[in-house]
Amino acid sequence: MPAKDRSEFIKSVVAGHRPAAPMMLPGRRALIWFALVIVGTAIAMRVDQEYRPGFTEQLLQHPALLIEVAAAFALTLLGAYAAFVRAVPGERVPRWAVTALWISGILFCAGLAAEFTHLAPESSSLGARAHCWTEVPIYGGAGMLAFVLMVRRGVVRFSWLHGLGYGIAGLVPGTLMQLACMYEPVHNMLYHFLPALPVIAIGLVLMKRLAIRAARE
Amino acid sequence: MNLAPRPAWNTVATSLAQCSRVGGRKADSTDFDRLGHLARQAQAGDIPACESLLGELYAYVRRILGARLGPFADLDDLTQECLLGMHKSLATYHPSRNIRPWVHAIIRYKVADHFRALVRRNETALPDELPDPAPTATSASHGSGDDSGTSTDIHELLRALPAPLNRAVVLTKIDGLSCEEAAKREAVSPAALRKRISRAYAQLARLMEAKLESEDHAR
Repeated sequence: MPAKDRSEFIKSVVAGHRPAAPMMLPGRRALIWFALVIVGTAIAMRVDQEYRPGFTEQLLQHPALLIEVAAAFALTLLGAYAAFVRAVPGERVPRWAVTALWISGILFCAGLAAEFTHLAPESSSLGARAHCWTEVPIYGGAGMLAFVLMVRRGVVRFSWLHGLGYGIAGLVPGTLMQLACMYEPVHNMLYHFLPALPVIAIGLVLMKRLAIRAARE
Repeated sequence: MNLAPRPAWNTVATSLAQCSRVGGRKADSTDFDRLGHLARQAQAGDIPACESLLGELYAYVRRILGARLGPFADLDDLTQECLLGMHKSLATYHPSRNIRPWVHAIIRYKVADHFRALVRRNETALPDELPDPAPTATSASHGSGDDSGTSTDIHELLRALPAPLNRAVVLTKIDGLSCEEAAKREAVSPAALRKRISRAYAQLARLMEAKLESEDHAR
């Protein structure tokens, strides 16, 4: 595009000027998104089938499960926060958030490992759901869509962190499934968390495409 | 043009962090306060404020680009790209924040995109046209002044490139040789030289983005 004269250029840009209400701060957007996703997913799962009987007692009696669930939610919230922050030009993810992200990630992995020890609830088929492995990507995809809608105006370029933020939506149904479906470590890995991986992969691809489109515009 | 061997990256990074603060010299915090105020008004739909904002940003962005890129870009073209990006992303600026990091981030993205576009263009057809040194000269006529450090940064970054890539860019873009002449001098095929130029641009994009980011962080 050949450069226009300065004043001509400014006039042409201003001619199409419309009010542009500033977006909410990233922290607030992340909280809203997280609340919407967690409530929406929890309700959708409850409508489909009852939660596992006695899951609250299990949470209280087995700190390993409580830590795993709490760390997964913290990871989701912080990941979304980081992604929202990265969507704003010039904003940097605060150091405390990066540290908290790492800590929750480590705790989540430790919680997953603890499932194979005596610290975890006993394995049983109580509360088994027929389609838990398909529910996870469906609800995760809906969460990701909500994320895309909330962040699309802010996508200016590709960021792996941003893409992971899209995909991290898959962790919410995966974690809730730990409470709603049967508890058995191998089943948990294969049917609750593994189906979240495609959501993460799709999040990265989607992010890349949006960033390419934004760059072209 | 100095074709000195590639210095260690940390040396380059340190010198880059210390070198030009062209933007900072001209636009102090008061200027940015004013720009922030104009941006808030523009967000509310105030057209004269939007015009003033773009006018002030035009000179500022052009001065920064002139200092960073020198003859490696059509300054007006790239400035207008940056301003279009800023206008399009106006909603992403939050009124409670300093506008400076926002402005600099968009400049950084556009500069990196500029180099990526050069890579793509170079891979499809070699642009033998030389970058016109006129933009550097005309920058003063735009009232931006203070271009004493013009293109210092790009030369610094060029020195950080591996020697073959450095020579490929210098021969074609600074010394003005055609691709064939430069290839003959380097004893490689024109296609290989083109590849070197592409790789050089890709590295320059990364280095420039990292440099601008480190400078923003240092502020």
